[in-house]
Amino acid sequence: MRVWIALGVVLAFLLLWMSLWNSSPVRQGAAVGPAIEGLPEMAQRFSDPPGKWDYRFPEDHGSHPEQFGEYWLYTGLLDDADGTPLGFKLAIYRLSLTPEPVETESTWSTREIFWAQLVLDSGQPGQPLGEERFSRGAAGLSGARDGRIWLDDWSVNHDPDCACFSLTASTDDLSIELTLFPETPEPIPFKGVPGLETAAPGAHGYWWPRQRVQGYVHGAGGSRQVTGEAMLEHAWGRRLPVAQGQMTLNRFWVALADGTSIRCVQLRRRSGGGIPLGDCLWLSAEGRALQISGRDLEPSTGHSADYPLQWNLQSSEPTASLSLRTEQKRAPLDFRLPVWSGLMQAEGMRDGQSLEGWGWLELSGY
Amino acid sequence: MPHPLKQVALAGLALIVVSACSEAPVPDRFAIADPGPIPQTEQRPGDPEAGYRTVVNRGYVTCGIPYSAFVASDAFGEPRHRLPGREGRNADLPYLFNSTVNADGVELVVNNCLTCHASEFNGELVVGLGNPFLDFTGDPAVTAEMLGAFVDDGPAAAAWAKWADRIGAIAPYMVTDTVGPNPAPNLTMALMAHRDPRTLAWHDEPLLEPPPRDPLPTKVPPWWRMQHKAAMFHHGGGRGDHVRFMMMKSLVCTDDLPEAREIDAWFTDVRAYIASLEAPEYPYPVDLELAATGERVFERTCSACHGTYGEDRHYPNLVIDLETIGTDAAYARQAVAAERFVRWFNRSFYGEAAEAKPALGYVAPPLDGVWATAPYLHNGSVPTIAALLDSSQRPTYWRLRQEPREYDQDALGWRFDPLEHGKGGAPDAGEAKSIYDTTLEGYGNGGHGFGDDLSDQERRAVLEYLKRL
Repeated sequence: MRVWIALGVVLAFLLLWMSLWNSSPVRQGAAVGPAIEGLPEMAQRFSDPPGKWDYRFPEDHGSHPEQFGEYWLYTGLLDDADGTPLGFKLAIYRLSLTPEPVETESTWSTREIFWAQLVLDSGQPGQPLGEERFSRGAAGLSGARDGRIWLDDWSVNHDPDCACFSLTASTDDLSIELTLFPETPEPIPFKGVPGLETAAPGAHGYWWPRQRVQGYVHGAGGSRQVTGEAMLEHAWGRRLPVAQGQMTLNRFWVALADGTSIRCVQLRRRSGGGIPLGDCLWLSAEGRALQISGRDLEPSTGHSADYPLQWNLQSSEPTASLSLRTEQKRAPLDFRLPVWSGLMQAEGMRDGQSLEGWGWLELSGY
Repeated sequence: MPHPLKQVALAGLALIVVSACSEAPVPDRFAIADPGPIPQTEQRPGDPEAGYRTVVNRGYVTCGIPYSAFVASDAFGEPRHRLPGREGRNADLPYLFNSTVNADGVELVVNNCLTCHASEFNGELVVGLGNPFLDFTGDPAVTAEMLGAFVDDGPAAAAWAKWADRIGAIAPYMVTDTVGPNPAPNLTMALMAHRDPRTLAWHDEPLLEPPPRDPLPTKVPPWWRMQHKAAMFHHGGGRGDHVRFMMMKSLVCTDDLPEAREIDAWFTDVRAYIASLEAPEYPYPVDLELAATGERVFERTCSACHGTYGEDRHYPNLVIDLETIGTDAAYARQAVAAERFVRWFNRSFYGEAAEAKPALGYVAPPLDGVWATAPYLHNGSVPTIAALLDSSQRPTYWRLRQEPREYDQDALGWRFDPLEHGKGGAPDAGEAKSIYDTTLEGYGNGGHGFGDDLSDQERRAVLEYLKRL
């Protein structure tokens, strides 16, 4: 399944217009650019990555420019000394325009375009802070090399000395300056589009939950020191999970207080019916990974064309019931591809023991 | 390993069911045929050339993938084989797909019969040769749903949803645990469970108890046998008007009688085309002297069931009882036990001039082109004719060599690797799917031990003779 190509088509329509002719950041709400002829064909010039990927770290934390698409997605929950929560998502997407490097002397020439989203959610009523930027991978505007991925002043740095990541990003109202310390030595590799490996094997990547966070949140009221927990998802290849056509894309990242981490990716029909695709990965505190069918994850309100904000995960292995929900009935963020993105609460039972924690929810394609 | 989307392509299969007679429909007919000779039934005439054009051009499966999504998914690649007589859009599609336009004006790509009934031999596509390399181990519902990502709103979305829903309904009944065996009988029964036999109307909730979820393995027989056979299917249960069985592929999408009757009219020609096919000639050298010796051994040992060939051709059309043939009984027993589906067929439009009437036994098939039709027995459990004639040589666990395929001119069959272990010994699930495990239910390789008493020289001679059929 060429889901990565689908992403290429969607992004290329948007990004080429925004990036190649406009290198400045673009805020949410701008009109979608016109379609550019020939981009699907361009995406098809890229080969699928090899069936088996020999993961090497820290190299694979960086960019894979020979691959058509790639993304780094960080999400987490922060708390300050007063216990005020702030959830965040920082995602940076990279799209290659040609399989080979561009040979030109122009500073503005590029083979890559970048797209990034920052969402900051306090969990309180009202819209979360969200900003989206596009840029070409040229003239220092954006790029991914030497352990650094950046778009303007949003950046992620991998420091091999501390095996940690530094994140810096800002909206007009808030900025985050965080350091993430993974608590496990290496991430969990996956083959294929995460959650959709069987149907879309043309990608590789990994998920790295359990990262301890410390840093600062800067705002009009000053700077607050924060701590928290985060996770990273990084994938590259010709295929990428994206809502398109008749399918919605529903993604969940959950961290429970008992140390369990859960990641779910699900495609399901916008009109209802059909068979939900994808799966969940349940990683216990002891490091045991269990795969749960995406069919076990259902919106509690049934099928709906609206954004479902209450979900139930019923699993037989592990024997668990988990409610994932938010009470914030707000509209989706008006990004180029509208998305509902924000914090959620997780609670439930496993083997008679109560579960609770936080999660980040992303719904698109509705 | 075929692309996952190919799993979806396989969902449009040829179907299997049961029997025939030229009577008016009789409600709830159910009878088990006795082993022995199968009565001949005169078949409706048709135009073979028109039949071929229908097979490779028309939309006798009336729901499928919107053409725009088919292209946008970039999942099917360029046609590997180009068949003659492909018209319009069909000329640009892989051979197993036809183009059609539905009532809402949506251009669709739909499976044709060649999904299962065509296969490569020496790099050539042989129409009518059952494909023993098909992979039904993936879930076709997954890829049917995934294609929705490439479908626009409007009539195309409705067309896709109908097709994907049908695939989703039958998918649980067509996933095999081994690459190669064909699940057609099981998925046919699953389709029947969702349809009113009188109106053919589709019901999302099954009207009958569906078949078991684990399909029994079957092998796709070559089309060129049909000119000699009085009944269809390995158990001989497809009796009467063969057209009504051949067109059952339409069960996936045909929801009313007028559409079924239109397809029926086309399929008189398709049946005539299938009945006109001859087996291909053996493409390698043959030792004619040894073959002549083999013919004498064959006529002494095999002809009573499989018939004689050449100028004095005679084919007896026999169902051999399970005790005598001794091959894996699960498939025949399931066909007989599936009374609700036999009754469904006989009550339906499809049973108007045909009758589902399985027997507790298996048809001894005509052996034209048998050298091309490996693996052998109704379940494809024996990889070569040499092993079929010498049961001591039959592997318990084996795996077909997929890439590259190589034909074994000595043993008459596709080269395979015998294994020391079954699926349980495979390093991963993907490897396990490639292992044919004859200890599993329905996969047994016993029986048909009629060659065991022959000498090695006699067996070699029979093998040489079979190259000439």
